[in-house]
Amino acid sequence: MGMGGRSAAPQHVIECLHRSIDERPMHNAIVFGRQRLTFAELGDAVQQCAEFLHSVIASPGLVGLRLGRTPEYVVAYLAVAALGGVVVPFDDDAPTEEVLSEARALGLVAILTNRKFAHLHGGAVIQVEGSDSRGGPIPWAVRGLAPLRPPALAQPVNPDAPLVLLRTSGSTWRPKRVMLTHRSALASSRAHRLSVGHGPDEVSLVALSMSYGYCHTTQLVAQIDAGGTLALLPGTFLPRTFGEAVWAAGATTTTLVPSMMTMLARAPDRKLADLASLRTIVFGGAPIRADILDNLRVRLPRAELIQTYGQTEAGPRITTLRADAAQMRPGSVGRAIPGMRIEIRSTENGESLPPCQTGEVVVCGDGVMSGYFDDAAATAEVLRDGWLHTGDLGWLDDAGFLWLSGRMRNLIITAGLNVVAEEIEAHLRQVPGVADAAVFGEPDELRGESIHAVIVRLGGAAPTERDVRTFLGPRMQPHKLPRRISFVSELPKTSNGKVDRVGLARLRIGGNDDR
Amino acid sequence: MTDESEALSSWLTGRLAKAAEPSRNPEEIQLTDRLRDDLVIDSLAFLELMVDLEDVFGARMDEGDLLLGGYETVDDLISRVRVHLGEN
Repeated sequence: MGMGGRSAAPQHVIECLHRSIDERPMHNAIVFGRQRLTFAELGDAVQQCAEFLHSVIASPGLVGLRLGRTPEYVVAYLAVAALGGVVVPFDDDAPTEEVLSEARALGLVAILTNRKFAHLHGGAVIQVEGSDSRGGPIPWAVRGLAPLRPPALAQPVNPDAPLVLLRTSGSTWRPKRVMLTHRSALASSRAHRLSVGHGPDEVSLVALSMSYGYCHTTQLVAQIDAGGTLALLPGTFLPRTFGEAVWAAGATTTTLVPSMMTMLARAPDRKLADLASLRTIVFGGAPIRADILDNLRVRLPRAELIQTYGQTEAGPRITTLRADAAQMRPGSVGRAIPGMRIEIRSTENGESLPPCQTGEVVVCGDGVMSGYFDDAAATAEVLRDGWLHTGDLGWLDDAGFLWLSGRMRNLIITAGLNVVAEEIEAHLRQVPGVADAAVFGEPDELRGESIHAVIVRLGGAAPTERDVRTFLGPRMQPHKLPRRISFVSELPKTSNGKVDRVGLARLRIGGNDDR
Repeated sequence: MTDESEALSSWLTGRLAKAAEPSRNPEEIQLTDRLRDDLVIDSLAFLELMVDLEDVFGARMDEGDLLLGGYETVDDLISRVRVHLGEN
């Protein structure tokens, strides 16, 4: 803001919430089906939730949220932040065992969930009744908690305190949590809004998982800060349910991954008619096919399709490609968002490379994470001298547009979700009768890539494909399960004895013959 | 079975056969096949099937019925959809 305008923008999410409550108390903060919550009402709900949490947990610490895409998630997120705690979001479809073991490892003081849940060792499990998208108050409001003490929200605030720990696949399979401070999350969300031209009156429809870094920063934090409306898609994404939610909320923008765009592109015209209020559709997370973009460009002429690139570790936003620039540079992922710097560095000697030469994409900016939680070694691998090493390969043109050309990591992006090959391989090696295994990403029309696992059996043992699936099913998130499984007698290796992944993909294994 | 019910069953088995990994002939689909473990239907493939089902049969599935996790076998799916379309 310029001189004489609003004072310097707050750097703490709760200060942003207060500003939005003060400036636009009657403006819708949350829309969930027929449920509406103004900023004033949201403030009250956050206050009540914070007081409730305060009465249950002795000191603010790491608080897990497994509340799906609901108003309760938003309220609880802000309440934890108001108490000076740190939010740890969990995916809705994460296996309970995985959630519990991570919760123990992180030392959560509590987990809030709307699912049936076993007890949490050393922490409190707080069951939250789900609110109903058909209307009615949200659960915090029906608890009837009277304000107990001066508002928890008025506590001193530190913008450099951690706000959230976001799950990432990172560069190895060990699960890690990206630590974003209030300041970094706000920096990334503000730069994002500037880069896509969003003002304060957007109605932003969330269709992705709330635990996803992309959605966290560009939608949740962005709308609280802007005083705009956050609309939540009730239930599952289908072109129909998405259209109904856009129409009901009068959504002006949404954030999608390419698989969702593909589903929309295949939908009949009458289903796209509900999307008329969308002025921007922001997408990223994986490469998208040009024909899908062309299809939607023609059939949704009022919506600008805006491509973005980022990674959770970057806050997550790195580049934006507006529609006008996309006409000139199809295939680019755009230019650095404000405050973000991009360099291309040699993968051999780390030196900065001139335009048009390919190397590792390395970025620096206020949005970048402070590190992985409690993992200095992993942090040191990717954060060096303030520069984040993305593990992506690419080049910049003379005008600063970035083009991605590959990955240094063994990453598979399936339906917009990152999966690290080594994680799947570690699970596969635990299947009884499996001697060795390797996975790779195969081109897939709907998913972008799908996971193909190649397994070597132990001598004489005979796990079938069915045995493998039965073993993996309860142990892994569904999107990490291999789509194809083949059996071979040995894996191709490189000269230094590592699995030759390129050779693996070239095998073009037909092989379910010996299932 | 009414004609429409039969049409529904054969449409569903045809689509499951196509969506299965690897894809197979419709007559190879058994009612007892497990959607996830035997046919390797994932949530995205299932959603595509649901989208087309709604279009072709004019159905409108409830939220709870859109999730792959709600069904174990081919038979479960066919029975539930049939109930949904108001058939016996």
